[in-house]
Amino acid sequence: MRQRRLFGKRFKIIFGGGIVLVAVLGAIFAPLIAPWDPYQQDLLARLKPGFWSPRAVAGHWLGTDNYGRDLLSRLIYGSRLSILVGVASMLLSAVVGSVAGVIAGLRGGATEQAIMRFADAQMAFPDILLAIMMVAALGGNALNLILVLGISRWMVYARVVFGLTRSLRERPFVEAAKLYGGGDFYIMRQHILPQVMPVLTVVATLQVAQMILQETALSFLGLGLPPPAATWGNILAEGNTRLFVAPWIANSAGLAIIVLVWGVNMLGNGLREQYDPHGLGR
Amino acid sequence: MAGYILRRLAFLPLTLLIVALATFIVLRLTGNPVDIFLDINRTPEQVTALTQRLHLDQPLPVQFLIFLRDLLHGDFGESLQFSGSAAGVVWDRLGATLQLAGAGLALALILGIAGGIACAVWRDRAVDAAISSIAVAGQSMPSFWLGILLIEFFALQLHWLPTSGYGDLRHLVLPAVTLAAILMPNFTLITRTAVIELMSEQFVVTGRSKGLSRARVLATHILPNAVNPVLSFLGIQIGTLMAGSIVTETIYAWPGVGRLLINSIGHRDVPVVEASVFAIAIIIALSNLVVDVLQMLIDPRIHRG
Repeated sequence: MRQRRLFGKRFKIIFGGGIVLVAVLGAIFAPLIAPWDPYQQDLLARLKPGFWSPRAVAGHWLGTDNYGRDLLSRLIYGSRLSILVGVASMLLSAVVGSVAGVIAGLRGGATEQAIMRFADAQMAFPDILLAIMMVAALGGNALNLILVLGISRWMVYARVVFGLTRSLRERPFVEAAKLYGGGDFYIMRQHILPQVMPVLTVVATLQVAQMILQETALSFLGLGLPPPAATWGNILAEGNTRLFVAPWIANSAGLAIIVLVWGVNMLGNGLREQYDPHGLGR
Repeated sequence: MAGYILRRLAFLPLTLLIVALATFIVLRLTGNPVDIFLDINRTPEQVTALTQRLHLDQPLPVQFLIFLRDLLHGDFGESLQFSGSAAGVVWDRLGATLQLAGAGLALALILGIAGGIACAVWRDRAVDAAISSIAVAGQSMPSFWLGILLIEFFALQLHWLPTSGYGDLRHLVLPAVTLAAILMPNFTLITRTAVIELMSEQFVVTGRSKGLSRARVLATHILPNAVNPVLSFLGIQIGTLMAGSIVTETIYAWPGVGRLLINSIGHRDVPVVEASVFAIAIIIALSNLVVDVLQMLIDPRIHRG
């Protein structure tokens, strides 16, 4: 799929990477940066708007929520869960999916049929529905969110890696390794993974954006960490019930989500133009 | 033709069997069902009733067979929060979900395909740059925030449309637009690619060189051939459509299966959760069947090999 390039790949990598870097640093150093304790309530300063309004309360740059908690601090702390879940679930699904894809590609035959038809079947089933069911059964905490989202997306990697492995399998260096008696695991580590790594990196980066969207969607639906946890989805859901009196609550959380997702997507697209110009990872 | 449809229909039970197995594994084996389904304040009577209903005293394979037998009868048990059977509760909400999904899909298809054609025709010009950029940006937009923004603007600021709820056509506008916005960017980009690729095909070049106008070639040579890639993509997107419908229904308090599912999880109404998941799975499976048959009708080469 060719798209008009509004920006060069270097711009995308630097700008998108910059947004991601700022978000990650903010998440790591949240206790140092956040001006308030994100759970500290102040019932005298409930639902105050931010710096743009004359009704603003000094010190609360983005205003306060229904319990008088500082919104900026809650957003900074909220980035921790989104980034942690996004990256960890990406790693889990990348490992599971890549191993499944390599095995299907190298073995072929019944193994391939079993793995890839299963991937097809799961592809047709909405991942968020599976995630909703699993969170409903297991309960919403960070570890479960990572597990659930990781399992719900492994087939994206399996398909990409499977396709690449099958074409690599016929290449002389893989055949030679096989003739010398190299096992599946050896071939995978020495010959397949280094070849698929660039494409895998691109797919994985773009998937982090999807994972962050899924995590915030689950939180928004009330299936993430239960309140009062400061997560972007929770803030958005709380804001959704106070749109008329305090629209800035939902808007600031929505803006935070879209800026981070946009940054990750831009970084991923820049990386694709750099490392996967032929679009193998689609 | 009829044979193909029959063969595809034969796969339907298999798909549903996989869904049944997944539901069973997720809701029965990820912990003690009694802990999952009943809250802290449970009474011993409730525990006994649930044990009997789910046959928890039987071995697992037997439990699964009983689960399948009940499924075949459409028997998910009685709803815990509403009076009546779970299947009946879901059935009552099905119309609202189909209405929303149909309206959203139609809107996404019409606008997405029109946008994609415009991009391809005026490729690399301002129109293309504008529409493509919006489409790419749309892929980063969380639909739940878009829904909230639409409510803020069209309902709270302008008072043109109701904020949420179910009723006349005015209630349908914002949910349908929100749902369409999830799918539209993909349809735009797929249509754009398909049309651009077809433009360099020999039969298109021939058509142009024998003097047909651009518009004529587009209408008679390119668009009929672009239908298939868009259709096969539509098949993949049915799942996304249903997932988007869950979120959209929750934002707008739309009384469909998706919102019912989320509410039932909150109330630990497991029979309704299972019935909702199955309803959504059946909608997806049937829609995929329809898409496959349509594809074969349009291009019989596909399934002959």
